[in-house]
Amino acid sequence: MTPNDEIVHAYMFRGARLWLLLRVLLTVFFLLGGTPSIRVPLAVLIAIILLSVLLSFLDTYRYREGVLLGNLGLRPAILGILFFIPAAIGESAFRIGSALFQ
Amino acid sequence: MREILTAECVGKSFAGRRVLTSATLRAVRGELRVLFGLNGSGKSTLLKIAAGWLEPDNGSVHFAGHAYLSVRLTELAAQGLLYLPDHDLLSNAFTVRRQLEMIRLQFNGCNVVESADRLGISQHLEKRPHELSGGERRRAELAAIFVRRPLCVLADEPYRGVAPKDAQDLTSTFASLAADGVAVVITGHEVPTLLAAADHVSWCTSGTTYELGPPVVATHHPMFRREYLGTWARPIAI
Repeated sequence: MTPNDEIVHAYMFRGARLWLLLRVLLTVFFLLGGTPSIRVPLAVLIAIILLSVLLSFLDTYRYREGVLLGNLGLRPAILGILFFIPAAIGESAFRIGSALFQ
Repeated sequence: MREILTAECVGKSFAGRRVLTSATLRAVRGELRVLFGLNGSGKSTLLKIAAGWLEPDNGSVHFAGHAYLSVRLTELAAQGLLYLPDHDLLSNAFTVRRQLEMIRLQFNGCNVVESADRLGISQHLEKRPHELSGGERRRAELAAIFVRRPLCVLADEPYRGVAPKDAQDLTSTFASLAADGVAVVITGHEVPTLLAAADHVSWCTSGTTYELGPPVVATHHPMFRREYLGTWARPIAI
């Protein structure tokens, strides 16, 4: 089933929140390591997005939302897309932003 | 067709331990069916399989005229099933209102405030489930049923953590759902409350199920009385 706006907002916001948290932590980590923290290699960028999606799924598992989502007719693949979009948009914005300021 | 859901000849093992060998569960429109059984007898496993939440080793699930060897809750939910698990249905991450709205928008359901009013939880709509008592959480889950308007409800031990008075209210609500034509199956150990409301009793034991029939017949079943009801075995008046 296609998720309604309320579900899309709720779960994309969760994806965005966890991506931002992960990105801040990694940026600090990269800065401490003396490596570029904003414009990261493509492989790292993909890894960040996938890690962010994984964290969002773990958060869903932590709240035991599996049955609720099942009852809403939402397959995990749909949820994965909802978690992927904010992380992908965020990383793309970082990449475009860093290219513009260089 | 009154029989909307059937989990037939279901078997399931966990780590080599056979929990179900050949169990059957039926949900019939307009009937409140109760599935009794000792702890560990496989009631929850059977309900999970019937809801598509767990894959059986053998057996099949039939829902609304379709037969499935393997089915997911998402598919059955889209066709009108609502499954209440043996833990909280609603997430602590969102308010009760937001989750009821998700359900309403997803299934073009009933008004959230009206459903909450009906269950007496309208003052708790802006709270998250962990801020509610056990009884209020169960009411919020029932409000979700009223918002959803499903064809069939499978409720696994919906009375956990509620006072006897609340259990009676919950049972009345399940009975009213059945009276509205919904197929309801409940598991639980609240024998007097459930028997008073049930249309049909099933018993899960030794990996299989027995269809005992109406409560008046079930309470006279010698094996059921001896092995499950125990000292409670007081046949109800006909």
